[in-house]
Amino acid sequence: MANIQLPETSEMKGNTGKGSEYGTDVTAGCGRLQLYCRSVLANDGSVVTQIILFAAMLVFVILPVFSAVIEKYILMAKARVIRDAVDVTNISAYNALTVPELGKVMIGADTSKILENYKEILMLNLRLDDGMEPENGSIAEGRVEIISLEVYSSGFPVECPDGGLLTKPSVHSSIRVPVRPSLYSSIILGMLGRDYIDIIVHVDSEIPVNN
Amino acid sequence: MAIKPVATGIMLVLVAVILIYMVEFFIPLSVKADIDMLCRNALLRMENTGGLSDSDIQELKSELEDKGLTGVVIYATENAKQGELLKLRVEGDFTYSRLTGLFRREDTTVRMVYEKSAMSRRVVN
Repeated sequence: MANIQLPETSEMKGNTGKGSEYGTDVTAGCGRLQLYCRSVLANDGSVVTQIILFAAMLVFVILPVFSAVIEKYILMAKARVIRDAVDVTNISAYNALTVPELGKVMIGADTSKILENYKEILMLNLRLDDGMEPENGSIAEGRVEIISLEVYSSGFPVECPDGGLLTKPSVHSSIRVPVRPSLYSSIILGMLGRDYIDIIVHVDSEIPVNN
Repeated sequence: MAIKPVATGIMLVLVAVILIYMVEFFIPLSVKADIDMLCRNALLRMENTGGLSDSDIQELKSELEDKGLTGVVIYATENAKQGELLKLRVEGDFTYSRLTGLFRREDTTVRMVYEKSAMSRRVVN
């Protein structure tokens, strides 16, 4: 393979230090790569500036981006755990109903004992006390609020209060669970005068009609 | 002496170590999600059959051990009438190797617990 002499470029003109020891004879295919490597490895410029730039990039770019990703992942994991608990609670609240109540088209939270059943099972699954406040080991960090709870057993298709279309017997519920962020978000929330992020979980659970 | 390439190398190693350290945070979270899914399936089975039999418990235990959980303890309601409360509690230790220093890895153990309740299913039709 023939050696070629590269023309002097503006990058090379800047390399007046020991970088020249890497030589200028390069093969045609590796010319650009070698130029790049030489500019990186050249011993000119301030090392202190480079370290400061690296540290700044680490503190202001890499760490915030990663912490944001981790924070988001943790919140998603918490939301998933709450959604699972609500899903199990929905079906269980329905299972606890009596036959005359199940014959109705729609059972609202105010007109049935379903709310009582629902609260009882939700308290067990999210480790809450009688006032819906979190106990030790609960995923919630503040008072859990039940926003809506409805049971649909006929008259399909129907739309739930949050806009979901139901085509089969289902239990709809929506709850608000305050959770505390763990990393940078807690600092940002603190500056905004808040301690918690409210996770609103809406679950429509289809009722199994056969064993 | 070529200080700049040495400094660049050190900083690249530091960044790589920090990135690996942070990525390893996801390992237990991911395992917990898998374990929750297995336990949730078991709870749905319990809801359907009114409890978890010994063979189901052994099956669940072996599935959890396949995911890397050790010292698994399962408490599950064995037999509940329809409309009665069912409980499932699963505990176990998950041990994984993680970066604890610049060039040091150590085994870390995380206790994982799943505890949920449900009602035994009432047949609708």
